Amino acid sequence: MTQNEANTIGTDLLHAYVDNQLDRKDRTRVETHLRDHPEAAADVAAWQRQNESMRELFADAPSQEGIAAARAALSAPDKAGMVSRSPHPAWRMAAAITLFIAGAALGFGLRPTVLPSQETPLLQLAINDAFSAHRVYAADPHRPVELRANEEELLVNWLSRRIGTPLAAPNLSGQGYDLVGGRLLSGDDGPAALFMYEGAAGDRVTVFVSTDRIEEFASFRFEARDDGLQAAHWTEDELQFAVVGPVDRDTIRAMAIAVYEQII
Amino acid sequence: MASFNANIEEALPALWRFALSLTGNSAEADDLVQDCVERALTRRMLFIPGRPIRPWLMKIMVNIHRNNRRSTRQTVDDEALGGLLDPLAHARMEDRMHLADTFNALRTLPDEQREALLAVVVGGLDYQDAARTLDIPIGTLMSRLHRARTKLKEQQGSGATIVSIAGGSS
Repeated sequence: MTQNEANTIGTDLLHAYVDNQLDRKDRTRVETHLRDHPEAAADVAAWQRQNESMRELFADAPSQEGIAAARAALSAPDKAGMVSRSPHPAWRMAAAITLFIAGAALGFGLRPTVLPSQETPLLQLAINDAFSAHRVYAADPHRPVELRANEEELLVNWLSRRIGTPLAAPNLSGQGYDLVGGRLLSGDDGPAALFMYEGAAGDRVTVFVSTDRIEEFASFRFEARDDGLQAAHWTEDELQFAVVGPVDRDTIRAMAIAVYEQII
Repeated sequence: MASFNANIEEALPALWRFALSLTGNSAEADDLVQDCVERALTRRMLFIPGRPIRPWLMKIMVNIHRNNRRSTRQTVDDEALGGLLDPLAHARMEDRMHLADTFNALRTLPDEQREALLAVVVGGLDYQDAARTLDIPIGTLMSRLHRARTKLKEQQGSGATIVSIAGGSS
């Protein structure tokens, strides 16, 4: 009996006990086990002390200054750029402007008067690149991709090496689109990767990843074109992402979320 | 939309503590929280309503932190430790030394193990959310936790570095 129980109490369960992530029944099981296993009990006790020390170490009341600054950004987006804590005021200003662009574009009901005219041309170039790449390659009946999805590992390794950062092919099967493959393109200022997906109706969606630097201006935005293409575009550190397809905004948003959740 | 901001605001204290545990000093924690909130605001359309917001925010935070670390490989030194322990000046020296020991031991862990431990213990995330936050499978999270705790336990036994770090007083 004891032997059986011992076999079912693994290390993971001991950690879960220490981290208070067990229900009452499992807690009791672990406690019973610990009574007969002094070594495990010693580990558990040591880990519990570690947890206490760590919590105490970081239990300081949050810095009022830090919290206030974050709160200011939250409650008054039009002042976010002015928060003085930042070592890079210009950067914060950029973020604030971006908020306006995104807010206005997404219809958050911000005053139209704040819509800035200084939208970066680089951002526009980047989005245009993504649209162009989609138009050229999604319509190509012969060779839409250089490497097919059945060579996904090869594809991903190859693109990662060219882009200079580890990439994975986003999975859009939850949205009903399967990976067709990908190709290497050149962006405005460096290499770019294009992943292509196909829906049940044969319609194609592309995910464009480029390394062009456009700072933080392009936070997140939707863009539509007259030919029925929708795009969602955002930057993530060194990389820019665009999802493009002949779908409605809700669909493109769902895909953008899927890609975003997988890459960060 | 208002609730999105309100939820972030509610998470700020927890977020700040997690930032403190990642950076080791409160000025950097301030900046990290600020950057995280700003990025979250620009990513609001990428948040799935109804999901818990804290793991989502912490994921953004870990990501920013990793990038900062990559660009300026920070050397965590006595100065950072001093900044962290200043508010503890009122504590008994014995306690301070013990905490300094903990802090130091944490610093010796590989980044990935420390992040796993902090996400669970300081971040207060369940294993599922912690794994998602760190973008690793749950099995990987568990093995990192285990290695981190084993290593901390070994170090806590030795305790040789305590005194010098706590400011040279014995």
